[in-house]
Amino acid sequence: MHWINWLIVGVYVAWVVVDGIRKSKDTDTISGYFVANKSLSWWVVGLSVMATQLSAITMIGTPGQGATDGMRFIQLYLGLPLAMVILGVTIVPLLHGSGVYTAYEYLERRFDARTRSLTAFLFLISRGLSAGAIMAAPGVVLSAVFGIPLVWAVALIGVPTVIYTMIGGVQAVAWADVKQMVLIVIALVAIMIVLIIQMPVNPDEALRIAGATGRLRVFDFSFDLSERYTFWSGVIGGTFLMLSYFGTDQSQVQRYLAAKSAGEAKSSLLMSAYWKIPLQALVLLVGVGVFVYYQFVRPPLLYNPAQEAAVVAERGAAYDALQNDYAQAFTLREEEARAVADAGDDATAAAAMEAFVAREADIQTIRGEALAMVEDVTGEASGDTNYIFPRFVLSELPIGLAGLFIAGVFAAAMSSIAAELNALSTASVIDFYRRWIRPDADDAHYLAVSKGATAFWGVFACVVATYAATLGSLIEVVNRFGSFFYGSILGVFLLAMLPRAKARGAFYGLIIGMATVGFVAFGTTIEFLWQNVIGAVVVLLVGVPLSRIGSAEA
Amino acid sequence: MPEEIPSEGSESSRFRTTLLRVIIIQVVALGLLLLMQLRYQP
Repeated sequence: MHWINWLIVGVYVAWVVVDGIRKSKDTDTISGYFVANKSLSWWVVGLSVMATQLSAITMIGTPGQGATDGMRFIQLYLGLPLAMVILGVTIVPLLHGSGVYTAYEYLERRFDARTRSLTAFLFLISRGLSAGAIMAAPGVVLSAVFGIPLVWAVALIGVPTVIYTMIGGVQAVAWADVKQMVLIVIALVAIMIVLIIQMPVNPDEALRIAGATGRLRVFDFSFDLSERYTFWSGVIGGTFLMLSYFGTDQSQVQRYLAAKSAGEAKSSLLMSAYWKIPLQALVLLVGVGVFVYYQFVRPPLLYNPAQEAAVVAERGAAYDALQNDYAQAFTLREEEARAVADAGDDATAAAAMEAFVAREADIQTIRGEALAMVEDVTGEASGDTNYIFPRFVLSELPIGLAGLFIAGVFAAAMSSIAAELNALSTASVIDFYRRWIRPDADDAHYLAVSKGATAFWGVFACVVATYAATLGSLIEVVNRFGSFFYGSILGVFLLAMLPRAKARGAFYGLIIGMATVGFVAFGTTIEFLWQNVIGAVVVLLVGVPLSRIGSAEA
Repeated sequence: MPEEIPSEGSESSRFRTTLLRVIIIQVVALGLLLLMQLRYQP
């Protein structure tokens, strides 16, 4: 990468760390450190909520998904606006008004200590590991693209994040998120503009080419529980997922607990509600644009340079032959793409699209052979989709814009990881250390322990991230394990709103809810968005009658 | 506490205004995406 691009990245990272710490005030009390003394404005919290959810995977992987799979991924977010409105009138005022530091602390007040400890423990395990996975994803890609060791890539992201999170607490995290969100949007919009300018065809023709391959199919109205992204799984399953994530996950709850008032907290969530779908559409459209661009400019056969080098080293002759086939197939496809763009009437367009789709299938067959070669040689799944966008940015965009994008990737990674570390530290100290080990210490003591906990979780995440590449499938299991209890924890919070619900119903309902989701995940083909609905509903169905038994016995 | 009354009122009013914006932007964004699908997706 050109030194100017590195300079942009370096200046940005330094600015985030220094300014994040500078903006931190009154962090010598736990209220200041964990919830900013409830002093943040709604727009700061709103941008922080959005930045936390927008991880580096969104910046790197989602445009790649748009390029290979099109726009349908957006259906995942259809439930988000509704979930935000529901949270705004239910959980947000409840948690904000109760004066708690963590969502789980509230569960002890409402139910009992074991329900609190179990939910907090589940959070620590899943989020501790997922912080590593969140750091690993951009680390692996940056390491392959720049040819630097993974441990360096992880350190470049992890070290500055741990420093500003540890020193500045939630205020440093929130103010850094504001800058990060602005940078991410600027980078995406700038890339979209450059893509349109550099595109060899006009936007109407580009959309026709994308549509010919099904990439503009945004909505799928079929009701199929085994289909991952449909309109219904997005609206129903997505609403439950977003209710769980934004309503019960400490990394999000802590953001709006820092708002000046419950009203400001509600407004901050609505800010996320109205920007998420347009922003996600922009990210996916950029990916679709990259797909169309690569109809006219030949992309590499394999996007991951490290894997390409490994294949060339071991299967040089076979890979060369595949490259020749690819070059010929690309030329044929380009001709058909131009025919689609130039088609005057409907009949010509239909014929051109049919021929184009056939040539596109040829290309995909050759790509499939290359990816199979990667798996044979390296023994790991290629994950090539994640490299499409970084390769495009670094090879096709002007100097400066590429630096802006890489800074955006750092921003997205740092904002998500900082929120996780901050929340992990808070839950460790408030839900375990202060609750079970040292209930009567002063603020200075808890602050010192909190900073130590942030550093511990930072190191833990970096270690997990460094080994993530070799743990591959394990990380996938961890992510899947995390989705087991999202819906179930939401169920416990829903129970908390029912006046007659009791601790016994909440605790056993949670365990049975998680077991049911585990069975559904491994024993059926029902897709993960529906698992959140199942978890929440089972907790309610089990928790309500169990609470009555408890009452009868009492 | 007279000073809290206008503050809560303005917060509630901002919530309603923002909610209205949420609805409008979602309708516009999803409508545009649906139009794009109907126009370009064979």
